[in-house]
Amino acid sequence: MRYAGIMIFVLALFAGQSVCFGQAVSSSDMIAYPKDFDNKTVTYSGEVIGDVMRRGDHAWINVNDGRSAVGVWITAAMASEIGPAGDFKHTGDIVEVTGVFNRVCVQHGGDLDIHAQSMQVLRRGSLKECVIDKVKKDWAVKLLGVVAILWILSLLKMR
Amino acid sequence: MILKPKLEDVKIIGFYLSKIMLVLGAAMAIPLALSLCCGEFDPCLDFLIGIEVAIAFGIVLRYFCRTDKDLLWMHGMIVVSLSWVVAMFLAAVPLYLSGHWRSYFDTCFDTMSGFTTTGFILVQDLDHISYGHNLWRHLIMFIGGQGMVIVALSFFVKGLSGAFKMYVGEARDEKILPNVINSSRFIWLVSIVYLILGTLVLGIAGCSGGIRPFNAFFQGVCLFMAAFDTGGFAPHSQSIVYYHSLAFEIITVIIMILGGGLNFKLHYHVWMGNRREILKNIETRTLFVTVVLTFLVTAFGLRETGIYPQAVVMFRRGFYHLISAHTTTGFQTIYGQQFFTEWGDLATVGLIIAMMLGGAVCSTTGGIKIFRIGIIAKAFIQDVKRILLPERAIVMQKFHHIKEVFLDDKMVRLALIITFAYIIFYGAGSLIGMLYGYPFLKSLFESTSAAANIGLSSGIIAPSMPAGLKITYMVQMWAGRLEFMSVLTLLGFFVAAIKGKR
Repeated sequence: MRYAGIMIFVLALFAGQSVCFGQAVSSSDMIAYPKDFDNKTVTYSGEVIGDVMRRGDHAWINVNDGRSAVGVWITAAMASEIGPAGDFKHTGDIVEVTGVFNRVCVQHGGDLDIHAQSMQVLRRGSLKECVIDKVKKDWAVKLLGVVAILWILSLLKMR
Repeated sequence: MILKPKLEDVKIIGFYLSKIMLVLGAAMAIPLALSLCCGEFDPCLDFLIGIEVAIAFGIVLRYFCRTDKDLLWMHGMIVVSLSWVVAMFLAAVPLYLSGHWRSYFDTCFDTMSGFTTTGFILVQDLDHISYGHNLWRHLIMFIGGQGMVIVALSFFVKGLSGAFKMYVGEARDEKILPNVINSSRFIWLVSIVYLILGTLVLGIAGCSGGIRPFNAFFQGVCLFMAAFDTGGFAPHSQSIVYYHSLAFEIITVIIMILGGGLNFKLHYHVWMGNRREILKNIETRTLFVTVVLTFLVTAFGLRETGIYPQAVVMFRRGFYHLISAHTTTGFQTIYGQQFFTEWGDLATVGLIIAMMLGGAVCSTTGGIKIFRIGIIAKAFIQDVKRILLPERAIVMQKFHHIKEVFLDDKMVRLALIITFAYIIFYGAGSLIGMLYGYPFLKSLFESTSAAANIGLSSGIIAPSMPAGLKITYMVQMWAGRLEFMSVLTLLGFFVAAIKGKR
């Protein structure tokens, strides 16, 4: 009886976990073969880009896996876990989302999206180092001199 | 007998080209200022170098080609066609330096796509591009949509009697006001007023949709420029999909119709209080008919595939892309590949027909243009009447375009020639696509999208596509935007330079 109890506990644990595990997919797979994943639980990971767009008790994030970006509908609680989103100055959080993929989401007017059931931040985003390219700087200064000389010459010709 | 062009001809062309270069250099100051304000110092250097290169070439050309002579028709046409090529090379400099494009050639593809308000992109990792570079991409589209020469005419050229020749060369054959410079200024007035209103509305929609205020208004400006100039660039790689917002879709549809569906001359008359003109004008009536017909084809195709389970969802996706195609904008709320994997052939053909037709003349749109479609339809009705009525009857056909106009054969001939040229152009591009191994419908879709300056893509457009195909689409974008005449004049000029007699 004691073993049966342990077995039930372990099974329940895995049953609970199975909801949060789905087939690992890439954005290009979802876009190219949406029928294959429609209404299935998928696991998708990538960088959060742009803005975390809060809409009431949920939010939209766009997650880019290096090929394309796909919209993910997350809860406000999940949204609060997200740090910086990727842009010119930031590398965004790398997240792994598990949820239901919708080829045509009726709730969202026909979007191709994922409704997240769980989300995990795999790597925190960060501020990118601001580096000024020295070669570009040298060229900018040299070209400034060229433009100044040309301008003076053209003024002299006009006189 | 073809006459060899004289040195004076080259000097006139060079002198006016130098003005365009200086204007372009000055325009780069806008993204430079934005980058400075946003603390993007490395991109500042990109724009500084871009400005210096444009100004240096401009000064050198002006130095050697200074002339007081005015433009002839040939000069005007050549200045226009060359301006677009020169601008493509110069505007690409700061973008290429950003490191977001694989090669300078790919950058030139994107700048040609921007200036011609097409919207094809080869940019890599767009979601991490700087504000300055992103603004420049959209500004290129705005400058191109308004007409590059119009920019120069409006602000930098005074008392230029040859202005009309350049104005016509940019595929605007209607003067809004008697003076062409005043016409250009009116086009700017309309655009700036709508720019302010459009940015405000999109910015507010962005803020209420959860976008940070600065991003919301920045993206509002960019999206307005891309929608009003029927360009189709977007600040993010997913186009309008990024926003997941009905409000954005409604606002951009309205802006696309304002910019691409309505003639600037019509805007002028509506602004002057003549609102009934909208209902009577041949262009708006033709647009209404063609939108309804092409939407029916698209909707029927979508119903056949059964992709959208609800009529509302089908209308939202189908109508948005139809307006985007018809106004030659190219915004997408689905991914490009889905046209072929999900929409099916019939719905895609509906879109292709809408793309071929295009929007209004003297607007920012590309394609055959609905005015010409209206004229051809009227001519067809006239001929049917001729057959049905007694032989002695004189059949006159009228149409309303600002005033009542009698249809004449010259008008019909011109409309048919341009329509025929576009159809040949669409076909030639798709043939080249097929030679590279792409299927017929995909090739036709992409070729039409390039030649009519739309920017919807079936997935062929990618940095990895063959260089020959990139050149094909660049030529299609360029010649399609200028409606062939300026480009053919330029080719004639080169032939005359080689084979002409002194």
